[in-house]
Amino acid sequence: MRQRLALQAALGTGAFLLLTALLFAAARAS
Amino acid sequence: MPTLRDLTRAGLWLGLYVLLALWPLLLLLAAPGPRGGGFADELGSALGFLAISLMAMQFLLTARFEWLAPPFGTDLVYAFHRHITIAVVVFALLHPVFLFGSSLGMALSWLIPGAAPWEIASGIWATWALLALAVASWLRKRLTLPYEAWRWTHGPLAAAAVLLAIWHALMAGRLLSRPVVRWLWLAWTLGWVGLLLRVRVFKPLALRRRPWTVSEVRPEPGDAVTLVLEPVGHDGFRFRSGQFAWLTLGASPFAGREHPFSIASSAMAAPRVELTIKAVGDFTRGLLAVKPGQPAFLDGPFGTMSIDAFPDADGYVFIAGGSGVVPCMSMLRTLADRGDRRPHLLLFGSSELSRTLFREPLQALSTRLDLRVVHVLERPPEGWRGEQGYLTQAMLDRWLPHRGRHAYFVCGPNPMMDVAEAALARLGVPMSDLHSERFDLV
Repeated sequence: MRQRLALQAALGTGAFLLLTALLFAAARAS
Repeated sequence: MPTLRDLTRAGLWLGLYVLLALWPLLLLLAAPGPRGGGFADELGSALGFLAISLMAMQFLLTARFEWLAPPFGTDLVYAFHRHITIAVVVFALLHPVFLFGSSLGMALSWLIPGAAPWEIASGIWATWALLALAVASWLRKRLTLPYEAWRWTHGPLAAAAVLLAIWHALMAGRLLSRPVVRWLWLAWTLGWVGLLLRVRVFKPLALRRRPWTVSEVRPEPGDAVTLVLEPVGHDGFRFRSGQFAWLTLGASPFAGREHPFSIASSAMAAPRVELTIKAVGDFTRGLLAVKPGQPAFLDGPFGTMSIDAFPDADGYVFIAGGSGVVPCMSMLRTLADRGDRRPHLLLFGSSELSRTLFREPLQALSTRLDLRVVHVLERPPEGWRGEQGYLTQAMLDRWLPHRGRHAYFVCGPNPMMDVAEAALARLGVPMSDLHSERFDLV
């Protein structure tokens, strides 16, 4: 179960970072 | 279930991690480089920077900083290190997809070595190195890659991947054209990579000044061996029972053949340290031939799993399988040396009675402690009336204490730990009372 939490934390972090990349692109796109 | 406190601490840890990972993007927003990219271009660039950021921060997660481990346990930091690679691989592969868009097909011809200009080829090689690293780590056992070979290639390959990626970003990237941004980004990223030097250069240098010697070698049942180690010319280290240390045997700590092992001896017996190790790979099988007087180096202690994290528990419950009993043994020996009077339980799974580790020492401990030892044997001898087979929920129901607040320690092979952790959760044991660490992640 603890291991699953580590996987969820990593995937959640990845998803959040992907979202910020989208926002970054939206903010900078000309 | 995790308690609110666990979740808050985990949230803070992850929040800080995300903030550090995002720093390059924040830098690029604060000091914008040339515009002119469309949405897909900007997204592709952002994913590239994030992939490099996460790759560089992998060196932080494995730099053996003890302060990184607490809310979760050292093993979860390593598990996160392993799982976050999924995000790195996804970002690195999406990076060219968004940048090249419909001309990606044409760009595929660059995959042929020598076909691409160097600023692009460095990115391609970085991706190959990253994929090789990820596949070797995720499938090490299935590929029957020896641990030593894996560990030898892991650091250099990781450094190569991230350095090539950094070079690629500097040469091919649009966004790093302003010198101040370029240098700030480079210093930040190389700073993380430099942490590799901490583990592979500075730590061994410090260890060389604090040598140890193997003072005794005791064969144990089930192809295991106990090495007794004593510091030479220094005072060793203090540890909490349940912790582990990295062992190097030989004249130089630079050999790179270090392995993490749980400490088996009582924390009260420090600086003497006993490591009980089961022969499973090339290195551990070689330990059976070690002779007293062998020089050694110990980097430690590490790990957060300890009875000392729960000093007020009404008693301790240890659920162990095979050599997972080693850290439990250290905790039990420490409790005995402290004259502890609380009731404790050890549920201990082994393949067969003759291969059970610490059978006699455990019997002896039962006379010094209020300790009940329940052996669970996969292949019990004729006439065995105790528990047999694999650990089950029913078994836990039968033996676990139903009154009082206990602390639980689970150590053993992964399938056993999965069963035990799930069963304890069903029995309503809060996650904050449960401690386990596993290290066979690769």
